Amino acid sequence: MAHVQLSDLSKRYGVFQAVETVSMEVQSGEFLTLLGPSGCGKTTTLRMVAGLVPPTTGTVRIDGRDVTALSAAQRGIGMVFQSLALFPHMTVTENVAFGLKMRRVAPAEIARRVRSLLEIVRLAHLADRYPNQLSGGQQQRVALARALVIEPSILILDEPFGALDRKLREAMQVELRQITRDLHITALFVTHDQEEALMLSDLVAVMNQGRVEQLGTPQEVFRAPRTRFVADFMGVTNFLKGRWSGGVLLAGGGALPGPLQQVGADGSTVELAIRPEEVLLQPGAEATTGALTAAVLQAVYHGTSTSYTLRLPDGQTLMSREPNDGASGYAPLRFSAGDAVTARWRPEAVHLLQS
Amino acid sequence: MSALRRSPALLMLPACLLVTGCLLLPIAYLIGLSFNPPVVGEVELTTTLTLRNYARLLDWFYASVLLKTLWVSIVTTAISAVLGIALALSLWRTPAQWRGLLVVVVLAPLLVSIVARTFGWMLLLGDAGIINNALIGLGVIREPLHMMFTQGAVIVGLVHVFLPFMVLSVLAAFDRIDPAIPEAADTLGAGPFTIFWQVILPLLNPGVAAGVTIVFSLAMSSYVTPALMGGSSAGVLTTLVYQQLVVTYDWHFGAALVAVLLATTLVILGSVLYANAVRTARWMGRR
Ligand SMILES: Nc1ncnc2c1ncn2[C@@H]1O[C@H](COP(=O)(O)OP(=O)(O)OP(=O)(O)O)[C@@H](O)[C@H]1O
Ligand SMILES: [Mg+2]
Repeated sequence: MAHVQLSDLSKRYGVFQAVETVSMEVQSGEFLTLLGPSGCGKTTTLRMVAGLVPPTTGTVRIDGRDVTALSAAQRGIGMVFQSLALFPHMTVTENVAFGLKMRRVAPAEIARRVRSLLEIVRLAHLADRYPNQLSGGQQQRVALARALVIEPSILILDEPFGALDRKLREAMQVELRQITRDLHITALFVTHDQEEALMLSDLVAVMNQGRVEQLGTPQEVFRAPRTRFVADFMGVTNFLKGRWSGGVLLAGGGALPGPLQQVGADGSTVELAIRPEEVLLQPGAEATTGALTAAVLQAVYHGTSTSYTLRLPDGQTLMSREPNDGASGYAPLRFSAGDAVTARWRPEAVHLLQS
Repeated sequence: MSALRRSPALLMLPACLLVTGCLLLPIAYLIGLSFNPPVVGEVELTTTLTLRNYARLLDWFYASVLLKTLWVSIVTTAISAVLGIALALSLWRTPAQWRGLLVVVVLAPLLVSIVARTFGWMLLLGDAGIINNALIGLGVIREPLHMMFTQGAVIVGLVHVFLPFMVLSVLAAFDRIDPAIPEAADTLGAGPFTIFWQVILPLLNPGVAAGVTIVFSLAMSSYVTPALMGGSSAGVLTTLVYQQLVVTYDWHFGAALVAVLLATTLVILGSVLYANAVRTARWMGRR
C-alpha cells in the first residue's frame, strides 16, 4: 500500500560508480523486479531504498514523502536478504517475533500474529527449531515470515530464491506472488534469472553497469527490447546490421519484411534483433521482397526444437529455431548443412535497437 | 599420502608426542611429587604416599592466597572481556584499510618485554609516579595515592598484557557474523543498542568463551606481573610456588600448590565452558 519513487539515485564507492542516476516509480501494490547480471548494482539500489546505505545523490520517496534521510528502522520496510540473515541464536518463533517486539506489541498479540504468519508460510510445526535445524527452503520461508510479520507496505527481496532447487523455487515464487497480492504489498525483487523476473513481475527494470537500460512490463522487455543488452539478456541471439533505404531496411543481402518505421536518414545503419523462433524457413533459395536467401551452416537437434545456423549472402549469420511438435517431431530434420533456404518473419518480430 | 589420509591419528602423532613429552610428563612428575612426604631439597619420586602436603593447605593463610588468586584472575578476565569486546567492536567497524594498523597497535603490549612493561607501569603508578605528581601538582590530592604494589596494580598489569588475546578472539567471532544480520535487525526496527545486546553479543559467544579461557588460565598462572607489581601484600599462588621451589626448597609442598592451582583452573574453566556449551548447543550446532 505504498507508492515508491526513486529520483536520480546514485551510489559511488570511491571512484567506482555502483549505481548511476536510477529513476523509477512503483505504484502501490505493484511487483517490480530488478533484473541484471552480477555486479550491476541491484543490491546497492535496493539497499538505498531500504535505508541501509546512503545514496551519493538522489532521493527516495515513499507515498510522496522524502525518506532519504531516514534510517532503515524508521522506514519500516520488510527486507529479505540475499544471505537470509536469520538470527542463528533465536528459534523460528523468536526470529519472526523480533520485529514485533521492537514495536512493543503486546505479548499475546505477538504470539497470535507470529502463529498466523507461520501458518501462511507453512512452518507452524517447526516453530521451536533454530535456523541451523532447518532446510534451505524452510529458512527461506522464515526470512519471508520475519519480513512480513511487521506488515510492511513495502517488501524488498534480494535474490531470495538463489539457493533453492528448481522445484522448491517455483513453489516459493507462486507463494510469494500470492502473499504480496493478498496483502497488497508493494514488492521490489531482485534476480538475475530472466524467467523468474518475467513470471513474477508487473514491472521489470533491466539493469546494466549501474543503470536501468529498460523499464517496462514483462511483455515489453521480452517482446520489444530497446537495447542490445536487454535483447541479449532476454535470450535473443540474432543480431543483424542493416541500412535504411527509402523506408526499407536492407540487411543480410535483401530487404526485410516491412512495413518498418524508418528512423534516421537514408543510408544510416541500424542494429536489429530477431528471436530465433520467429525466423521461419522454407526450402529453396527464392529471393523475393520480405525474404532472405541463406545457406544452412549447421543443424542442431535439441529434442523439443531444432536450431539451424544460417549464413546470409552478405556474410552475417542468423539462427532459426523451430519447434518439433506434432508430426514434425517424428520426421527427419528438414534441412542439413549446405541446403539453400529462404528465411522470412513477421514485420513486428524485428526489434530496432538503440545504439 | 593415502595412508596418511586414512588415519588422521598418524598425523596427530608428532603433536601428541611433543605435548606428552614436554608438558604432560613434567606435570605428572610434579603431581606425583606432591604425594610424597616433604623432604627439603629432595626432588626424587619415592613410593611412600601421603596427603600431608595437601593437609597444610587447610591453613587459612593458603586458602586466602588461593581466594586472592581467584579474585585477581576473575576480575582480570571480566575487565579484559568488557574492554576486549569494546575494542573488537571498534576494530570491526573500522574500514578495512585502517584495520591492519589498529590490530598491530592492539597487539603492541605483547611486543614489549614483560619487565619493561612493568617498569613502565611503575613510572606511571608509583608514589612519585606521573599520575601522583600530576594530581598533587593540580592540587587534587595532598598525599600520593598508593597505587603501585597493590592488588589493583596487578590487575591493571595483567589486563594490559592479556587484552590482545581477548581482542583477537572476539574479533574472530565478529568476522564470522554475516554483516546482513545486524542490518536485518535494523530493518525490523531495532536501534543500535538493541542490535548490540540482543543480536551481536549472543553471536560473539564462541569468541568470548575462547578469550575467557585464554585470559583466565594465563591470569591464574601469571608470575612476573604479580611478583613485580603486587608487592608482598598481594601474593598469589604462583609467587607462593616460587618461594617453595626456590627459597625454601620444599618441592613437595610446592608441587601440591601447583596441583591445586591446576585443578582449580581446570574445574572452574571446565564448568563455565560446559554450562555455556549446554546453553548454546542447540543453535550453535553445525549446519
Ligand atoms: N561497500 C562497497 N564498496 C565498494 N564497492 C562496492 C561495495 N558494495 C558494492 N560494491 C560494488 O558495486 C557493484 C554493485 O554491487 P551490487 O552488490 O549492487 O551488485 P548486484 O547487482 O547485487 O550483484 P549480485 O547479483 O552479484 O548480487 C559491484 O561491482 C560491487 O563490487
Ligand atoms: Mg546482489
